[in-house]
Amino acid sequence: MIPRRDLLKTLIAASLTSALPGSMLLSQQAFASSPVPPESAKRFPWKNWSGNQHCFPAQRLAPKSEAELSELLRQSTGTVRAVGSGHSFSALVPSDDTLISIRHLNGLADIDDQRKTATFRAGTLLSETGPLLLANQQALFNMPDVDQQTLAGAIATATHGTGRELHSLSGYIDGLSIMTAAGEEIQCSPERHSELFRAAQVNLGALGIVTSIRMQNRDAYRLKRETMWLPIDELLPAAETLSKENRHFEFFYIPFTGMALIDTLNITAAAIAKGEELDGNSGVMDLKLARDTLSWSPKLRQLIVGSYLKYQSSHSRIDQSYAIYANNRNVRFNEMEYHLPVETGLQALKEVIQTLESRFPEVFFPIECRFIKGEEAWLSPFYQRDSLSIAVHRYFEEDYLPFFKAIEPIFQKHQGRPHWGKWNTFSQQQSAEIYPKWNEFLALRAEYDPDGRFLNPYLKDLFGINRS
Amino acid sequence: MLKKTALQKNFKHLGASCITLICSLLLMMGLTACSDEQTSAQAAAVSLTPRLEQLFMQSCVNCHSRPETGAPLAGDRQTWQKILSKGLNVTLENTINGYGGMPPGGQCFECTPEDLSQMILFMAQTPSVKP
Repeated sequence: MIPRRDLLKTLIAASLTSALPGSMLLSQQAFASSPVPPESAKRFPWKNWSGNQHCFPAQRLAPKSEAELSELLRQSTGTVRAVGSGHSFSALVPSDDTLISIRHLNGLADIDDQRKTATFRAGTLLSETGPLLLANQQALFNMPDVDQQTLAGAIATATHGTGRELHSLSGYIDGLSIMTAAGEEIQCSPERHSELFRAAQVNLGALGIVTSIRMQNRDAYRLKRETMWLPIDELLPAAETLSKENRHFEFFYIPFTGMALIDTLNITAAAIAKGEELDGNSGVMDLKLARDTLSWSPKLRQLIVGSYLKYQSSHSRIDQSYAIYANNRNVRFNEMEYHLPVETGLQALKEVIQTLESRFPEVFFPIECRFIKGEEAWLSPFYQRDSLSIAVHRYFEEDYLPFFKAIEPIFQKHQGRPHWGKWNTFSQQQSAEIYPKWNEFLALRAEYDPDGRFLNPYLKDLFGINRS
Repeated sequence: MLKKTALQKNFKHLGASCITLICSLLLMMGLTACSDEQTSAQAAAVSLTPRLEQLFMQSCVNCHSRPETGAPLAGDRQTWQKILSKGLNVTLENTINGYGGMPPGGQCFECTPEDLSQMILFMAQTPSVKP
């Protein structure tokens, strides 16, 4: 008997004939090449997780304490950029001057049982917050599906999960400390330096180096994850309702199959139950195999993969909230994600699918769709707007630019705001038009970092500041 | 004053336990394959300094100790021998730039190329290989 996880491979193999011309096997050529250091400086490169961003920093610093960080900032010259876990696909980090990792500033600094708040040092990984909070009977309200980012990196870019009535991580910040280029630490909250607080909730690392973050939490809880497959034509009319009936609802459309994977998470009092999990990593590689071998016939690709998915069973499992949110991602990719008004998001999705399936047979990664509630952080893409987030991906070895550049105008036509940590070409002018508090953010940035020490070339362009 | 949390303490303890376990497993694998002299030489040559142990725990062990990730496992000398047949320089370059599912440098911010070489040799349980 063929193991179920190998069935798709077998179906694909059976559909191929030995006469199939080699040129029909659409194996995408690797495009990523090793960065070449400047001749004058044979430095060790910094590269992000996917490898699409790199730089050759003169200094890599990893202070062990806030006092050491302060001293390093006072002594350093040139541009300083903070590094989290390298999970951003946009050019937020690269600088050939100084990179600072705050990874050693980690752990729980304070807990307030009455207010249900917890103060984390900024280099704490999201994956580390769950057990720390559970030990104090608390949990984050919501989490993304990747948990290897530092808390500071995640809030800098408005990293989010899904939930029609739930904010991004930035929306649950209750206060934070930020260190200026002069090495001075400033604490802000809704009551204290309130404008700095609203700016720092989503800060792009442009205001200073965040050293600690106080999160508003809730009682610890367990979640039940349920997954099932549906034809996209049946799902889309029901998506609005599903997003309202479930605490968390997201779906993944699998290109060229007509099928979508639905994922719902709801709070439960039931005991932990470890059910069978979908293996997203091998699943994606199976889709790659289907792309490599069946792209010459979209109909055959849909028939085989779509039919296979139609008969996949549903899964469910129950665990502590943080253990349910997170998935391991062992298959690397590059990603673009825009957040669209929830009212027009599904129409935009239809246009994205139409463009993808008519022009890009090489794409095999699922399209991910999530719902997020509006919030008050000035540069949050969810600023005062409930949103549908749509994310498209390309395998890390393949050129993402043609596909992303074809899809981005659709997002922008529908008033989309980009995820700051994912690839985009959003300009200063576009940002000023779509972020009501854009100019206020720029003014505050200039006040707290008048010499532009925290600005790299990407941020200078974005903020309209002369690179020289 | 920042409190030292229970997890920090536990993690330190867990880290020390994991390193001890990995070292024990590596030693056992070495004992079955080598003479006593070779084993002693290897054990001495491939141990990690406390600093490298910490970096190894932060950036490598999560994948290189779990078969389901597909990463070559620490101590799997046969697999590492194949990888290192290309030479240490090529292996190091692949490590720095990322290879397959492995992100560049294992996303170890503080690791220098020399550190990465040491950790490769530690996982391969090989004191030295051709450049």
